Amino acid sequence: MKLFQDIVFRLSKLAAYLSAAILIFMVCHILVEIVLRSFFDSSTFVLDEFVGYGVAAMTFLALGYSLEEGALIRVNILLIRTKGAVRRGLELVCVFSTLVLSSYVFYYFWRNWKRDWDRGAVSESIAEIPMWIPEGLVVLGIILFIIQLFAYFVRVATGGDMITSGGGEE
Amino acid sequence: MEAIVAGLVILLLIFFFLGVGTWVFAGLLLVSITGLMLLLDMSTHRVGVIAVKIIWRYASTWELAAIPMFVWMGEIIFRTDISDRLFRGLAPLVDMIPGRLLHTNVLGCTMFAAVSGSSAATTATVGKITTTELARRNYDTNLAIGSLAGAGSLGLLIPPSIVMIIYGILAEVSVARLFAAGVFPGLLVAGLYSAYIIARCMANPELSPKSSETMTFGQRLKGAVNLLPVIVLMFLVLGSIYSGLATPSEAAAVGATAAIILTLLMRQMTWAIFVESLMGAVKVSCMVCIILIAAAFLSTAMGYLHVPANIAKAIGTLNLSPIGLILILSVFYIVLGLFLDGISIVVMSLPITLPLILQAGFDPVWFGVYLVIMVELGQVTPPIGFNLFVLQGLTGHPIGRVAIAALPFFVLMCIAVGIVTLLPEIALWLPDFLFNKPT
Repeated sequence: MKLFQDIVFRLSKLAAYLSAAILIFMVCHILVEIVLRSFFDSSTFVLDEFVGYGVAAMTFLALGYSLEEGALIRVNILLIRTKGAVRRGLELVCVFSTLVLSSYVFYYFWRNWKRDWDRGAVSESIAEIPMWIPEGLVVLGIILFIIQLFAYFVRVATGGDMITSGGGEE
Repeated sequence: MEAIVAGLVILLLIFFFLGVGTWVFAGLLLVSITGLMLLLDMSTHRVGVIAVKIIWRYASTWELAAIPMFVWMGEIIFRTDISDRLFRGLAPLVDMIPGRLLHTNVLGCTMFAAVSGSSAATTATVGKITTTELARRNYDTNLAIGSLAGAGSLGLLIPPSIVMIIYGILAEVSVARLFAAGVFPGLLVAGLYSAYIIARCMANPELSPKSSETMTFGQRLKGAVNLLPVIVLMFLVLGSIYSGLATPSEAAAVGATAAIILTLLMRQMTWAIFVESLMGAVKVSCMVCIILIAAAFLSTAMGYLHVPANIAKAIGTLNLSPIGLILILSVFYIVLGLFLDGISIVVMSLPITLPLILQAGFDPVWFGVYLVIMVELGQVTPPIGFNLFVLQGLTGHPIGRVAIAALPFFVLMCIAVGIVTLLPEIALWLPDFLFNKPT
């Protein structure tokens, strides 16, 4: 049980590291673009496309990790006023509905991915990126999020620790 | 009538899904999906296809990249001694004004806001130093905490600003114009705060005890050198935007890089700080971006249901004057601000309020500024106000105490909203001057 939780979190963390790598890549790409534009009157021509894929991939890949770290915000008016079994039950309802939602979204993302993979669809820019690559990263992120949610569901149901939300940023 | 019902059902769904405590992004998606299925009898298949299309389109919006990068920059500054230097630089300068070091809160936040996009980060970074320093010197606790709570929220108004980027993307307004529009209202709010502190401390000098140390002019100037890192970052970020070298999103990359280089030069950057700041940025921006993506889908769903158009029509029949409309919206936003965080407020209300505002003839850039101030108000109102949470964590005082300390600054911010509403030029002059009026 503990092992299962550990493995799942390690996977989520690995995906978050990938997100971090994408963030560094985006920063570098933008710097190159600025230098090319300002000093060489040129461009990589694919900045908005690549960085767009980057944001999508890094957001979805980091979902599981952010969930477990309590970074995803929620309105806790009710949560902070409930205790014990009621609180635990409420948490299970929240996790379960998010689980259903994620699986639903996953199914349709998967369909798109499969279609683009089968047809070998590429982006409309000069880079002609095969669409299955960025879409695949998003699908992977959703899969890991679902696994992390499932692990969390099991943990809450069996009396384990609940995530304490840090409240977020804004 | 049908539109009112649809609007009410959506509202109930929002209260239900968010109220039980689902994660905000999941709640917004659930509201949209159930709304479309229940009210428009759409099949699960059709909703799924629409959902994925919208989610993908917004998730791969490249302007969103500004969010992780500005957050990263803030995380780096938070973890190094730049904020400490900010205090050491400002303290000798403000020591001569009534209210003394209390002004380090206001000025520190104002300057830090110019390199940070978020108010929680601003409050936490500046407060980390000032709360202990002011308490140690026996400054009045209420003024110390209150001014920090109020000034911390300037992080949203003074560019760069994450909330403004979100507003710009959703309302399709130029982020560079929005950033420029926030400058003078931000300075206005800061000015009101400082004036209030001066007035209070002239009436009762005990609120800000005299320090025993006396300093020469040279020493003060020497201290001011500590402000350099923040000023350099400010100059690079804003300079790259307004020189035309970079778009606001690109400026975020410049800022993050500059922060890394600067902290390397100051021998502050370590591998551990680099990784921590990076992972912190990944977490926070994941939270912000996923909510933004979910909210984009909610807007689309509301559009399918004709909710915004119909509510706009209904309010149109009331024949409200523009000022009347703003008054009603202000009450609406203050109430929302009691319970919701800033990003949720912006993304949930915008599909309804933006058409109303445009119909009444307001400038969308001006409304962006107005909305950001309303969000700032929400940051300092209990039970849900992030600046209050941050200060509760920093000072250990209960949230009620912090909220009472922040109350005068809440009132000052309301006054600022009034001034900016009556004199919209305060917001609009700078963007018009920098980018010419849009035709």
